[in-house]
Amino acid sequence: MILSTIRWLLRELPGLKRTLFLGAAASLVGSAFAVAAPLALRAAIDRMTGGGLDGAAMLKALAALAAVIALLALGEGVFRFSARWLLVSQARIQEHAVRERMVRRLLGLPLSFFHRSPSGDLMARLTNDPSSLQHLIGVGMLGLSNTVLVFAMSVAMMAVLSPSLALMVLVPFPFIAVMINRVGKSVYARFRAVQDHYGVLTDRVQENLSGIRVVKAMVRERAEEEEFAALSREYMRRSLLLTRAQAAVIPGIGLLAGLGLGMILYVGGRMVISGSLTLGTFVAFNAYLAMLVWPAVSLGWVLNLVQRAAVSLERIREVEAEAAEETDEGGEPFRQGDIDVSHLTFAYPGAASCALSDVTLSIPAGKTIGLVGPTGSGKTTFVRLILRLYDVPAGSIRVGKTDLGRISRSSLRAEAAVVSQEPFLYSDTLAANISFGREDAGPEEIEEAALLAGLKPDLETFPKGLETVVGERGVTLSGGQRQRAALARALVRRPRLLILDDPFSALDAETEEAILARLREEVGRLKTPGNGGENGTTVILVAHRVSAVRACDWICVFDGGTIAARGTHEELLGRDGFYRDMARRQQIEENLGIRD
Amino acid sequence: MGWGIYEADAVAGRKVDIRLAGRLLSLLRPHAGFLFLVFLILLLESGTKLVQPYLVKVAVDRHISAGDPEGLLNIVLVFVLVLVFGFLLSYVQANMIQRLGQRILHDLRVRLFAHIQELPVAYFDRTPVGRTLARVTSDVQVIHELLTAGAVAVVGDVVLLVGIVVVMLAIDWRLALLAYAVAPFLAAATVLYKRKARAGFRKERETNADLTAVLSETLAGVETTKVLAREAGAFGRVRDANQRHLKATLATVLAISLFYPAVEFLGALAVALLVGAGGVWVVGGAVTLGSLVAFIQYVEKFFAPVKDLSEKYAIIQSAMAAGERVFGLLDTPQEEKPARPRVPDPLRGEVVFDSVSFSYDRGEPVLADLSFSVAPGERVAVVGATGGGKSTVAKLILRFHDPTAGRILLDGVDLREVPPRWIRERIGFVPQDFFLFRGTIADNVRMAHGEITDERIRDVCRIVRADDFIRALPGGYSAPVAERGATFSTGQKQLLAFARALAADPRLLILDEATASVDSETEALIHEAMDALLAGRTSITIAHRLSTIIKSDRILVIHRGRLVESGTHAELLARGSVYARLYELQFRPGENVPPAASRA
Repeated sequence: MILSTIRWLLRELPGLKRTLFLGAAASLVGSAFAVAAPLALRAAIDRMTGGGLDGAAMLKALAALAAVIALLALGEGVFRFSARWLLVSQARIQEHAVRERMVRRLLGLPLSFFHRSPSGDLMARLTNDPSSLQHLIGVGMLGLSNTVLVFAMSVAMMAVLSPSLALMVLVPFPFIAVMINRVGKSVYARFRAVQDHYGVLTDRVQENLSGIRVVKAMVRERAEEEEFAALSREYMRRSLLLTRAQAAVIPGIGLLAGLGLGMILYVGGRMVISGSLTLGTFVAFNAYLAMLVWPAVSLGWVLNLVQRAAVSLERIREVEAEAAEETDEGGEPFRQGDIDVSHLTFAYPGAASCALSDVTLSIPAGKTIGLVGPTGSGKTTFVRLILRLYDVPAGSIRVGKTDLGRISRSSLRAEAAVVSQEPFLYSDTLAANISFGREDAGPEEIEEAALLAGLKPDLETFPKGLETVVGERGVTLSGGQRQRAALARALVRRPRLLILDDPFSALDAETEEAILARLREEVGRLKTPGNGGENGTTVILVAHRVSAVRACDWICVFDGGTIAARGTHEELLGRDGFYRDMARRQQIEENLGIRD
Repeated sequence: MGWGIYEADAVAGRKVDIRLAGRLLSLLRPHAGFLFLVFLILLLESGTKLVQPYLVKVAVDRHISAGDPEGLLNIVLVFVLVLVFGFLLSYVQANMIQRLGQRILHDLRVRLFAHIQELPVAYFDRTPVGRTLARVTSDVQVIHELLTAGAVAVVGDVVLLVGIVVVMLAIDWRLALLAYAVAPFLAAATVLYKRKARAGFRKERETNADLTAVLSETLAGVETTKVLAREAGAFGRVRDANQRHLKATLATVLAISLFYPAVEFLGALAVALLVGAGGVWVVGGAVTLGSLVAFIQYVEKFFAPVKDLSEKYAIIQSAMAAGERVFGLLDTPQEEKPARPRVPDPLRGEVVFDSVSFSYDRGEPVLADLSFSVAPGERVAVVGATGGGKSTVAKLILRFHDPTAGRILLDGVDLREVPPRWIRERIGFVPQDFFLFRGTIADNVRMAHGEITDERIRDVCRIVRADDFIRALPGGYSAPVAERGATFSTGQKQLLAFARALAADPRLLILDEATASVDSETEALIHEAMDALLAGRTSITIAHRLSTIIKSDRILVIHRGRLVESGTHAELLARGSVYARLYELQFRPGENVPPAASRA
């Protein structure tokens, strides 16, 4: 697990290998300086106790050794700084690179992925998980290289100074290794258990927040609190199991290493008494052992980092393993033409029933077609499929004789524009949002689109007109304003295929009518030469009001995933069914309106 | 919410931080006794750390230098005992701190959750779920880290540092002063670091908030990005925010990278001073060799926690950010509880709207000067166009919102004086979308009324015609609800909603009729159930089915927030006005409907 994590990092992150090498080299030199210092201490103490030097010579010798200690420390500091800076800054750079790489991947995934992945979980994968890789690469690798190098060098020095004492001092260390290994395994399992329950807890809160109005209406607050408290208590229990395993590690290592110190004190002390060891060597041994303790402690800690990183890497790789939307290579460019849908049946991945079944219909190029029908009847699914947000069986949708599956997505989406019922705007200026699909659009074009979309009166109320920042960090737009901004965004693209997915639900009928009238005029002008563009723009209009679709060339009534009726406004009014009922209902509403 | 918030964050000074730190520490207050015990153990543990170098000194001076192996053995045994004792203390202490930390974490989480339950509906209208969610989950976690890894450890470190200073002075004041010679440099380095890091961490915090916002926006807007084929643009936004954050973190990394080795160097400098000058004193006999050896160890013990301070500082900084957000949520005012609550007990079920106007935060009026009254036992239907304000009537009676002007009287008592919970407990509410909770069918019918017997639940379900399908379920009334009730049909959910409303035997019922169409058989079943439900109670139904409307005692026609007409079905028909036309249109199929565009 540890090795495969590190192997993945080295393979997938360019530049990491080189920095790790340099960092380890710096750490090697720094450690060498560190390990040399006790030798100077030993020399100094042996001078003090050995006698044989007169006052001035002694003073000189001690001053020189003190200077050596200070210089060694300076050298150590310089290289330790280099190692830390190299590794930790590299870790940060890699963390951010991994994040960017994941976002790039994510943006290439099909929409179905986002519909089945909770966004909270994706956020955690984009934020926490790269950061736990960063901990491993940075402080983890730094700790590891320091640990291994200092450990190896101090043991070597001890062996040179006194092999027998060195052997004795090292006795506790195998126990430390066994202990770390043992505890490490249970820590991993318990960590996973905590993480899993964290997911359950998060889910519970999310459900509560989503249904909070019902919770309140039903006076369910107390019950919700009790259930949440029980889950929270369980989380506490699992966390304590984890920390109980961890709590023993660091003090335990300290204890075992401390026993080594006791050993030196006694055995080394006796050797000094018997004259087989100088007092200077004895003190140096003490210093070396102190150097061993810290690496042993940090090893446990590094191991913890590795385990966390391994879990995170698993989660990152899960995202990366998702199959991206097929690439566009070899796809044909979008050419304006009739859209032919034949026997289209579609079910969302994992859904039990079909969202569309056996839909056949033809949309002539340049015409405007209206789609109506009850909520959940398949209208939005239909337009999603036209945009290739989901894949459909070959042959079921063609644009100008070309199978939709063979038309490149980017070309299709570059030529099409969509305005949905709840359009999404970025936290940016209105102008940036409108030109989001076409960065080359000039200010006049943006202004014109805003005008066409009926955004003009709103702009006057905004502090900075089109330069007003909207969204979370700025002015909150009403639903209707957002819909109009999205319409402007669609128009500025001069699309060949314009899909309006119930974009005026938040507007009153008059405003809707006015915008549609302007839109019809504009669409009439949107004829561009070449690629079939001379046929004008095809418009698919999903709407809930009869007044919106009246003027369409053709109207389709969706019901339960099939087309229940089709025809012109007048034809549909002449027949029994949803359309006429809808017209009548709206007629009533309108009549009620006459009174005020 | 506005642009101001980030600028305000940037200038939020030391004062805010101190107040915030105070509030964070106040989380520890209820555990003062336990904390005292932890500190006591911490004190003892620090003691065992302080004793070790001193024992080495004794061993060197009295036994090794004097050639006394027996005495040495005794000292070593004491040394080992101290070690084992120290280990036990540290293990116990670590466990106690974790227990305390988890306890506080649990309490804070539950407290936040409970607070959220009491927030007004308006808060949920304007706050995305994800943001509130993060407060209860990740932010609380970070605060926990501060309290355990941060606060307690810092206290332990300070105790140890003070202890080392005192012990060094006690053992040999000359060597002590020698070692302290580096202290000014250490202080300077720390101050310098703090200054750099403070600004750095703040910048890191800001860019991080930015990055998080951009990331969540990218996920929320992925469909839009895809249909606009603007993946590159969306990626560019993430990359910019990500790179800004990287730049900010690298600045703090540099500060830490410099601080660490600098502190280590100062430690080594102190050792060099001890060896150079102290060595001369040892040779001169003014200082024992053992003292010198012990001092070298003390210096090492002194510098280790100072070094870690930079790490703890980072933890404290991120906890402060989380604390700001968590306390911000805790400070969000809850639903107002009336100062002097009055309740119409027993409830008769008379509702009066007295010139009620209502508008959301910044919108047009939804209700304008609406007046009507409903007598106890009356069955009233509210009809009108979508968006005309019908549902708002229900929301106001449930006190999800209060009127902007005018008042609503329940049995003559102004609703503002009645606690929201009291109302909701006594009103049977049937929402448009029925929300099923985890648990069994019986739990879902019983809801907050724990006193309702299983017997009563079965009776209620029989009354509203839900008994048949419930008994057909595997497990019957104990059948668990899966996936928030996705397995039930619209009609079944409707019947369950009736059962839930009826279970508490309310005097007043509010029904927001579902718009979804059901087959005629279910339709008939629902009508039967509704008759049974409404019999003998006051009811206000936001009606979509004309058959519901006709059976009502009185019909209120609401349009654009105003009452345009009211009366019984017969009265309104006879009047030949708005309702009459409405009825006409609904019940005379086959006639030509004039084009919808006849609108002036």
